[in-house]
Parts: sequence; C-alpha cells; structure tokens
Amino acid sequence: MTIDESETNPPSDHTLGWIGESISYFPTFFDDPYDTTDFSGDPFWAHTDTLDQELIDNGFNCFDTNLSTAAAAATTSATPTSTDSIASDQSLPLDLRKKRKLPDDSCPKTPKKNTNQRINEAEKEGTQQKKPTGKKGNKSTGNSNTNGNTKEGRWAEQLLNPCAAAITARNPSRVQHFLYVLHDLASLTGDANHRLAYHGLQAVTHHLSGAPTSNFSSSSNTFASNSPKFFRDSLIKFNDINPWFRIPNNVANTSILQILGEQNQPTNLHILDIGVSHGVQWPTLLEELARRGGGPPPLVRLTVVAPPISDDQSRNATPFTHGPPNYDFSSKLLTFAKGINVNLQINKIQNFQLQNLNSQVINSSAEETLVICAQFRLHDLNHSTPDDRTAFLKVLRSLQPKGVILSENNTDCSCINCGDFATGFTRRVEYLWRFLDSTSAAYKGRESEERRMMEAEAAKVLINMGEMNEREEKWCERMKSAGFIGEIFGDETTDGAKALLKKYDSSWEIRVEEKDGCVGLWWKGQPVSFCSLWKMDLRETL
Amino acid sequence: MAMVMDLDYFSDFNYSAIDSTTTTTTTTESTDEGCNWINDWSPVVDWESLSGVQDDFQELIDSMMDENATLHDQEYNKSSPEYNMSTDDEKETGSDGSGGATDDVKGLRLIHLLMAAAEALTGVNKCRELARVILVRLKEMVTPNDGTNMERLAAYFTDALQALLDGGGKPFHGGAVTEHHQSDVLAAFQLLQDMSPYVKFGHFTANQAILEAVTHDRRVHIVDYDIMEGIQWASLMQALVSKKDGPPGPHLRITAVSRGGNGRRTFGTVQETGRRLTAFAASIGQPFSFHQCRLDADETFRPSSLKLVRGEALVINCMLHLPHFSYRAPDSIASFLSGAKTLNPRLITLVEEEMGPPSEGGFVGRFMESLHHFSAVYDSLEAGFPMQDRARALVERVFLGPRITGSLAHIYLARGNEEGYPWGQWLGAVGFRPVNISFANHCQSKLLLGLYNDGYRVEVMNTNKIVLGWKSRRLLSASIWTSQDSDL
Repeated sequence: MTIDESETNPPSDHTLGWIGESISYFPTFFDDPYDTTDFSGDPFWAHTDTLDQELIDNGFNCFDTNLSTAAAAATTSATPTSTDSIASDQSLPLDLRKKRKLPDDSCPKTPKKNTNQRINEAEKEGTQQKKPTGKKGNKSTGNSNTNGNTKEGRWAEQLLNPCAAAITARNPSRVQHFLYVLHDLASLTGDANHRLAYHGLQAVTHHLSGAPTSNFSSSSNTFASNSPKFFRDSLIKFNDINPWFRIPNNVANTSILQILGEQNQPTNLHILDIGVSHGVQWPTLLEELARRGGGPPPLVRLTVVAPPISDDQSRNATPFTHGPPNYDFSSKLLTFAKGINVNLQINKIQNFQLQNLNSQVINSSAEETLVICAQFRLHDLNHSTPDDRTAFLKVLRSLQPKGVILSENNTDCSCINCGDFATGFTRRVEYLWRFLDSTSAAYKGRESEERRMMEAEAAKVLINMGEMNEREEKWCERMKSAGFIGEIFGDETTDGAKALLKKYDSSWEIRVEEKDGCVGLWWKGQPVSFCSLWKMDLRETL
Repeated sequence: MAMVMDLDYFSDFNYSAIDSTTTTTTTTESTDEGCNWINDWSPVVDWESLSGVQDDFQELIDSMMDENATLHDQEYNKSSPEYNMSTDDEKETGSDGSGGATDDVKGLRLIHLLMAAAEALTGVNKCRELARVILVRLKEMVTPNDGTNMERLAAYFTDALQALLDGGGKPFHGGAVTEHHQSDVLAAFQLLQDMSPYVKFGHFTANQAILEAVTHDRRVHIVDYDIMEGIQWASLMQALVSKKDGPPGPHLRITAVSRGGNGRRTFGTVQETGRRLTAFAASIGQPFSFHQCRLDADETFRPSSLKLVRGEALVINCMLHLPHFSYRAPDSIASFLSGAKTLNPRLITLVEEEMGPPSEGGFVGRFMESLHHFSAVYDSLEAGFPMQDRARALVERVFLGPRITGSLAHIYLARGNEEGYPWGQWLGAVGFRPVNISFANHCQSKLLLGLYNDGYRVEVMNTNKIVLGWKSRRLLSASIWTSQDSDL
C-alpha cells in the first residue's frame, strides 16, 4: 500500500504541491538546521544512541534519537527568533480584546499607567465641568456610571473588605494572602484605588500589630505634623478644588447671616465654632457681614472650641480635627476684620470636654445672637453607653442659641459596639474611598505634598476609635429629642451652595432632603455629608 | 535549591478560602533587627498560634513586630532587595542566602497575586477591574524570558489569565493558540526529549503495550489522535522489524486524525509526517501505509470516516500530554474516545497529565492545582537542563505557555461543573476494561527514568496505569484499556 490510498489525501502528483505550499507558508522551515526533508540523514531519525542499545539489549522496545548536537544548535538558533515570537504571543490578547463583547464590563480601557489614566479622566472631567450644564441630576448620574463608582471600578475595597472579614473570621492564612496582594498593589501615588490600598494596608497592619493609635498618626504626614503655614495654604487650596468642607462652610455662613437677619434689632453676633475649618471659613463670613445692609453687628464674637486631647490616644485621631500644635489663626483673622471694619473678638477654649460647656464657659449673654456651628466634630461623641451625644445636644440647647448648624458625615457608625471589625472597617474604607476618589478628581490626578497630607489626614478615619457616625435621619431624631426643631434653609442658602458647587467637579451634587430640609452633599450618587439648621423648640422647657 | 524552594512555596501556601487549619511551624531563629516588615507576615510565621486564642492577632504580632520598623515610613519600594526572611532555607544557601530568600519572597508574592487575580475573575468577589490591575502589576514584575522558574512560570500564568480576562477563554477552544515557527516547534520538541522523559515515557509505554497486544496479528491498524511529528511510530517500527524470532512482523497501517475546518496547515504537517514515516518504513523494510482522517469542523470525531479492514488489530492511541501541545477541546477528545468505543478496538493507549481531583475551591482551587502542576514541570526541566536557560525558554514558550493558556481556559469554562475528571477515569466509566501494565513495561519505564534526573519516579496504579512523577508530584500517566472481552 502506498500513501495514495488514503481517502483524504490528494493524489500523489499533488503531493509536491502540498509541500511547495508548505514551504511558502513557512518560509523559515527549510532554513532551519532541523530541516526534516532529508529523513535518512537527519539526526532526528538516527538510532545510534547508547540508550537504544541498552534498552534493546535488555529485550525492550526502544527507539531513541540522539539529538545532543542538534539540541545545542537549537539553543543558538532559537534565540534570535525569541523576540518575534514573544511579540506574537502578545498580539493574541489584543485581537481577542477587539472581539470581546462584555456588557457587564464597565471598567475603562486599560492604559498601563494608572496615573495617566487618572489624569486623563480627571482632565476630561475638568473640561466637562466648564461646559454650561443643564439639569444637575442628569450629569451626575451619567458620571456615576462611567467614573467607576460601581463595585467594578473600586477594586481596592475588593481586597480590603475581604481582608477585614478574614480578620473577623480569624482566618490567618486568608489575612496573610490579602496582605501580600495589598502590599504589591498599594501605592501612595497613582489612582484613588492604589492610594486606598496603601492606607488600608497600613491600617490593617496597624490593627494587627496592636500598636497604639498615637504611633500610627504621629509618624504620618498629617495636619498636626506639618508647619502651620503649609497646613493653612494646603487647606485653603483644598477647599478651592474640593467642596468637602467648602459647601458645609458656605451653608453655615449663609445660615448665620439668615439668622442674624431674622433678629428684630441689631445685636452682637456670637458664633460658637465647634468645627474643623481651622479658621479658614470665617473671612468670607466677615466680608458678608461688612457688606451687609445696615453694617456689621456692633461686635462679632467667635468662640472656638479646640478639640479636647483625650487620655485615650485612640480617640485623638478624628480626621481634620487637630491642626499643627502651634497653629493660630486669631491674629490674622483679627487683622483681616480690622481691615474691613468688623469688630471681631476671638476666644479659644482649649482642653475642654464638650459636655462641660455652659454659658459661663463661653461667656454668652441673652442680648447677643448666639449661633452654634457644629461641623464634623460631634460624631466623635459616644452615642450609647454612655450617651454623651444626646447629653451634649442638650447642653447646646441649654445655651439658648438662636440657631444651630449641624454638619456631619452622612454614614453609618464604625464603632465596635455597632458591628464587628469587618463591618466597621468596611464603612471606614467606603468613607475614605469617597474622599480619595473626589480628591483625585480635585487634583486632576496630580501629585503634591498638599494632596498627600490631606489624604493621610483623611486616612486617620481607618484607625480612629471615635468614628461613631450616624445617618442624617438619626441625627435629626437626636436633635429633636434634645429640644430643637428643624428649620428649612433659606433659598439664598441652597441656591448659593448650588451655585458654588458649579465650580467643582461635576460628580458632586447637592440634594435637599424633603423631610427634614437638610442639604446633602453627594459624590457620584453616594451621600457624603449633610447640613442641617435647628432652632430651639420653645414648647420644650429645659 | 531554587527548585526545592519553588515546591516549598506550595507546601507552605494555604490557598483554600475555606480551610484555615494548614499552617507552617518553622521557627524564626535569627530575627533580623530592623528587617523589613514583610517578615511579620511571612509564611514562616506560626499563624496557628493565633487561631481562636484571642479577639485579634495583637499579642502575637506584637511580639514579632519590630517597633522600629514602622510600616508608615515604608516607601513601598517594591524592588528593594531588603525583603529578608530569616528562614532555615537561608542558612542552607549560605552566603548566597539573601538572594535566594529574595527570590523566595518574590515567588510567594507572585503566587498570592496570581491567586488573587484568579479569585477576581470568578467567585463571590468577582471584580474584573481588580483582576486587570493585578495583571498589570504582575507584568511589571515578570517576563517569560527571564528570572527564576517561579517568575517565568508566573509570566505565562499572567498571560493566560489576561487571555481569560479579555476573551473569557472561549477563543481557545481547539483554536490555534500562538502560531510558532515550525522550526521552533521542532527544536523545542527535540529539546524537550533531551531534557525530560516526558515524550519517551508516554511513547514507550504505549508502544510496549501495543507490541504486547498484537504479537500474533498479521495486520495492525493504529488510529492516532495527535500524531505530531510521528516520532512515536518510528520507534514502534524499529521494534517491529527488530524481532529476531517468530513470524515476520505485521503490516502496519497508521491513520492520523487531523483537524478539520480551516486546518490546512495542520493537514500539511500531518501529510509531511506521513511522507516521512513512509520513507522511514521503506528504509527499514517495514510494510506500512499511512492515512488521514479529518475531524469535523467542530472537531468532532466521526467513526464512519475511518476506513477499516477486516482482520486488522485496531489500536487507538491518544496522547494528550505535554509535547502534544495542540490543545483540543474536551468535547473533541470525548467524541474521539467514545467514537473509538463503537469500533471495538483491541487496545486503547492513553497518556494524559495528572491533575489532582477537582477541589472544592472551584476555579481558584483548580487554578492553584494547575500552578502547582506546572511549577513541578518547570522544576523538572530545570533539573534536566540546569545551565540552558535559553533552551528551556524555548521549550516553555513553544509548549508550556500555550499549554498553560489552554489548561486555564479549560478550567475557566468548566468552572462550576463537576466535569474534568481524568480521561482514564472517564474510559472506565464508559465501559472500557483495564489492561494490566506488564512487568516488562514497568521495568522499561524505570530504565528510562534512570537516564534522567534523580527526581523522577514511576509508580503503577490500578494495575493498568503507570504514573510519571517529579519528586512528590504526579505529572503524567499512561493507561491502557480494551473494549474486547478476551483477556490480552
């Protein structure tokens, strides 16, 4: 029989054609030292190996090929082609990528450098935001889909949260696994995910080490560790590009003006500042006061309640609260006030537990218009066993203020009484994600020391024991039970805030809560903070 | 040393998301003061002492943590050679210890990253973006052409995962993976033969079984699922004509199964193989004829497309192990083997990779199993050609890379299914009967391994299966079966 008999073979006179084609198809085939056209002479078919002899002598069937010379040649001949083939290796996935149709794949296409991607994205947002935009709701929903607020785009949490869950489940090998992976993806530069991984990894390692919180924060690049000037400049710059504090500050300022305007006769204004604005909030208010019809109040008193230093170090890590130790905005602010003819007086209450405030301490009188401005500080108060929070709100009520402006993080509690480590950690991480994501957009992906400081300060949230946040509704309940009634913000307040927000990234949005009239600040369709305005419920007698 | 360490990664490495009991208890004897904090959660840490003792891991970690090496000051210098591990391995490596330990840590990091990428592709916390980011990082860390075994291996696994991420694994169904130059393929094939017993182990074991099964036959017909260069049959012919006593050898007919559809190139190569075999048979006086049988376009095998002659002893030869790199879809293999059953063959010879049983870990578990498997293959190749990095790189590029890609595509597509048990088991389940491995056959494989590195082992399992292993890891198995009632 011959090869011709094969039913699938071409007739023999075509055989040469086949080979001819294969030659042209594989141009290198015959150039190679392994040219197999000459069967008999090729080492491929030789059987002179000692192995053969040995095995055949032993009565076993064996056939070996002696290729040692060929192999050596192959080693050299193979090398020049290796780069070509690598290139072709990589071309395959590219082809496939073109073909893929994955409706669930919402992640952006994949440039190698995340930093660049981030910059591009941010710049895109930057240009978008300059366009006159129509309905606010529309643009932000559009963004929330494309800018990676979905689970898909937030990959760092996909490592940090399971890691925290493994810690809670006491599964050391899983924890170890996530630590390895996080370590390789964490970076202080790059997009928000890499940064979140960095801060998250630090926090997890810190948690596992059991080291005191003070060790953590002291060596970090936080507010308190920087020079007063750098701190102040950075904070002002930040407020200029991220509305995180700017909107709550703005809402507070216009509300103060609103309350002042409601008074029947000109009175002294007394502001109790329990906040995190470190003074940068007030120049704009003073300007507004100076510009006011009828002139500024005879006296503007600013009583700043500095954050208390707790014996428990882990309670001193509330983000944005503690400025540099020798930072003092008083003299600058006083000079500024003098320049615009506002009669300003500043008192600073140091080292004072909030619960111990009273009229004597702040030296208030019935004649003045007292407005309490509490921003991002009260979530630090215990909300149960003991309920310091309600107690303090009652203290505020006892000060008989004409108005209270309360701004807080609109998120759930992360304390150990409200959930296990994993639950709390996940909430902290989510908070930090919003900060890092919005900050990345704010800095348009650019790296700077300022940005790093702001982010490291925010990252304290991951280890702070006092992250006892509550949702807006819960805060409102508390205020009501303490003897306050909610007040709707004036149109100028909400309109002013909305107008101001236009200067920021278009993923930000202001939503006015129907029920309690709170002004909510949202990032990519997720709540960040809320502002609320309260007056004394005069039916209550306290 | 390096290869031992590669294997050690896995013994130390507990990848199961469920299991938290496996731990290593190597003591850290000389803790370097000021060492990198990666030490603190390195696998040599006795994590077991943490489990269930207290609310968190604080005390233990506290005791290990160097207070000065605060991680916040750490600049996360990823290429830093400071990753030190005070392990016993380090002592063994002596002055070169720090380098070895660095490789060791890097290997571990790679495994963790690969596993995380596999988890991100599937499972409850599926996140394609995470998978993408991890793969970007892996590509920064490794290339297939350079570095330790683990690094090169990780590079191929990275590419394979990237393919799954981009294409969902589908395009690899029997498709041409990467087309290599034919010259590279031949060179790599020959190198593989020299470096390892993989090729010969399969071919010799199958051939010996065939010879034993057809001693009294005048005509033998072998249907070969993946003939490649046909080298297996040259050796069989050699054995047939070298029989010194008894009647003259049988007439040999070989039908090569070739890919259907657009496989013109494959067809051409098979044609070439046939021509070569025909010429070789003529040169040694072996009566021979050669045929081809195309698979259907979907790679299904139709028994009716085979030309059978009454009186022939029919042998089905199915080589699925390493050099047979043209990865074929399980459906195609199944159609071939079940089609073969209808032909009532005298003998079925099957060589396949040995993978662990389908683990409970789903895709990730099987992914890690596959990583473990190929890690052992890499180590064995390194032992075979310790100095020949370029030679190994060629073999890895031509055979292992596509094999890894195909293997992962397969387990990715099969995830969730219980499919994927070994073909040998499948043959038993569909009614083939095992044929005992002869003593001679067993001895032959032992002799064969004697020519290679000490690390190789053979063992006979279930009387009809012979397994080739590297160190403690089973790599390949050859099993022989029949569908006929008469005992051979």
